[in-house]
Amino acid sequence: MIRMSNATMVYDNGTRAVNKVSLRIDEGEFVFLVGASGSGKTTMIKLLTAEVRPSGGKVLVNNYNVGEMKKRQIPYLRRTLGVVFQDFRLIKSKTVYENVAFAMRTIGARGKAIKERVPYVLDLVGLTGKANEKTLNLSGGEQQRVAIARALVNNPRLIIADEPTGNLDPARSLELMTLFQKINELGTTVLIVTHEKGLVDAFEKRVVVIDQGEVVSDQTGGYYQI
Amino acid sequence: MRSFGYYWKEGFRNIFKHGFMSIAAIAIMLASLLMTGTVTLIAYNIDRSIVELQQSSEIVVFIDETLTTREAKALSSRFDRIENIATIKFESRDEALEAYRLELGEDASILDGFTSQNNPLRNSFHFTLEDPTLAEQTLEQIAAVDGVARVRADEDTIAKLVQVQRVFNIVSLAMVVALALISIFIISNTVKLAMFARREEISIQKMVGATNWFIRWPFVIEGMALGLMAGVLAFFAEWGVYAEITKVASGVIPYFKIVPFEQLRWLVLGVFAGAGVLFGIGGSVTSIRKFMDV
Repeated sequence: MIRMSNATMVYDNGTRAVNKVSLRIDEGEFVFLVGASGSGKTTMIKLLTAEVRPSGGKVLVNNYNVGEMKKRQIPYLRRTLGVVFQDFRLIKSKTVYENVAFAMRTIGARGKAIKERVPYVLDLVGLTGKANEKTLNLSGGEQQRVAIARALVNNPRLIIADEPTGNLDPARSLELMTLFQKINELGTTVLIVTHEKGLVDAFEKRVVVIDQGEVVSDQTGGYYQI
Repeated sequence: MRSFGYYWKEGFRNIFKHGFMSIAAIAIMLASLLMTGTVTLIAYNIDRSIVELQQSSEIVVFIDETLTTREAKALSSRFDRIENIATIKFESRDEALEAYRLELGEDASILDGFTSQNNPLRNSFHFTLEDPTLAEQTLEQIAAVDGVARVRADEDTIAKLVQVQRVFNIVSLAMVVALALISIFIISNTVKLAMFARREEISIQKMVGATNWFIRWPFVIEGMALGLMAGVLAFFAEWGVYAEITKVASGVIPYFKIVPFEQLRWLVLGVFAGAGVLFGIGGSVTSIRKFMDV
């Protein structure tokens, strides 16, 4: 699933955002990646989605070697991932259904497959009744559910969520984490980047703590400790 | 191939969805094509007139008086062998005297004392050239023929016309190149603005695993369709502008012959449609590149 060995990422301006990180996440795991702002969490996600390439070491994601893969292979790596962002990144002019279907269409799925799969994932995230609503009219929690549905629709092996509850109130955040847990129980590996201590503590999952680009703690069932 | 229908649907949907930008892009392409086309057509007509003027500049060759009119006329076969000569016309000394009389009109009486016996004029040949730029060499070949007494050519005028033509060609080419570059720059910026409005959509597509060409195709089709529309509209606008230019030019310079638009319309339509499509696709492809690096 994810294998990082001595992965290092140094930006052009000299910032060493990730420093010799070795990390292994296996199929079916639920992992929190936590750390303070500027600790290197976002760069770790960028390495996993091949938005940046490692300056040193090795990053393997779903059998793709991020450091050595060709540029044209990147879309195929991303098809094995579902990414959820803090700011949802939905297309405001499209409806809930269209936003989710858009992700399937983008990878060349057939119309029939789209018609079958989209209602299923909307049901999974509890948005069946909102399919024809414009995303602009939804609450923050609902918009994030659309983003999760979109991430799930192509049946990825791994869901990566970057601060998914950052724009939500505590009740909605808890609901959303419960949804991620449900998705994980259905067999998808989940990696959640967050700095919300309360949520991490409540779920008692594996917690990887990163500080100044280095993994400083990795405890299964452990608590958020920086 | 499964996505082929999607590309076309998205491409055309984008045209209507971003109506204002589409209209702006069409208007800019139309204006650029119209300006470039008009300059080119005017240049073509002027160039054609200059060539006609050059070709109608006559070279007159006077034949030695020792040769009879029959002998002089026989030299025609020698001149036929000179390559750059377009037309040859023989004028006998008697015909020349008659022509002179006609030219003098009321004053023709001053020639009353002259008959074919004491005609002071010479037999002559009148030539026009195929390529006036080679006038000098052709004149040398003509002068080398036995029996030629004198060659009268308006060499200076021919040289000046050639010079005017050269300068005009350079100026019109520079204008066309400048207008084409300005058009591409404006179109590329217009498309960039449209892309900027859709950058979020593109970044989402990239994040869910769309290939670059999957993202590009609808934009390419959109650019192509907008370019084609601009090309066709510019063609009709050019037709109108050309008709006006013809009207004005024939009023101001009556002897300036303008090629009728009907003779050029398929060429103009083809060039405009082709250039519109190329501008549209080129603008889309170059503008989208920067939004692909996600």
